[in-house]
Amino acid sequence: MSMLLFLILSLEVFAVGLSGLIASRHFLIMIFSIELMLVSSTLVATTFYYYGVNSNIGIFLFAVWAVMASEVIAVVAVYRYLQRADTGMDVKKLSDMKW
Amino acid sequence: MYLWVFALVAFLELAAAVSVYLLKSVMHATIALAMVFLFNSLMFLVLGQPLLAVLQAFVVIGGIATYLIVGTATAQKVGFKHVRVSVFVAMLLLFTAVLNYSIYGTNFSSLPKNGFSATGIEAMLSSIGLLYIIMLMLFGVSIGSIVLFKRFKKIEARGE
Repeated sequence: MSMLLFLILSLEVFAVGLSGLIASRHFLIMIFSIELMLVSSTLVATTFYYYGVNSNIGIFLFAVWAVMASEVIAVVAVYRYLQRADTGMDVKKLSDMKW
Repeated sequence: MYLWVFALVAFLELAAAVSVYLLKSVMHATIALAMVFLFNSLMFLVLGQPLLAVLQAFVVIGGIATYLIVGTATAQKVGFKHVRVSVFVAMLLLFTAVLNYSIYGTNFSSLPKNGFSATGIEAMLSSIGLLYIIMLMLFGVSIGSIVLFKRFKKIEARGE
């Protein structure tokens, strides 16, 4: 099976994540977009490993998973705080910082 | 045979990725994101990496996606239009064209295939399939428990 098919799939998922990040106004949906882009990077790394381009991707994959996990933990904490503060999830309103 | 497996998993993964933005409820979008992780894990199997597929299933779906679902379980329906669909479609077409142009014309056929012995489909049929079934059952249980909890809360609120 051609390596091109897997690369195209991972690029499509990355494009979906990137366009969603630009088009979305919801705080959580923007974080999900970043998760999609990280997932597509793991698929690219595994494709390169399978086709013999790179022989060591374990460290990269574990780093990506660690970043995804820690990002999600921080995001859920911030989300719960914003919910209790009754601020709303619209990033246009969140970007107006007030003291 | 592997081509149609790849095509099916790729289509499902892309459909789940797009539905993250088209669904109105954040909870449903979180579940769609977990589906993307699941199909990505299946794609690792198609690439002949059963260990990575199981790691992805345990770490990303079992840990990250479950934590996201529990954390956003109390989210209400979004009160504003959170995705501008026309902008999303336009950006998607633009980035698809740009990113695919970067690999257009590159010849990948001369690269050697990795010598990993366990091919994905056979490994899935032997023992990893059972792990996936267990994972899907547990995932369904966690989502079902959240749905039931919400329903009981509604019933209690009506009773008061």
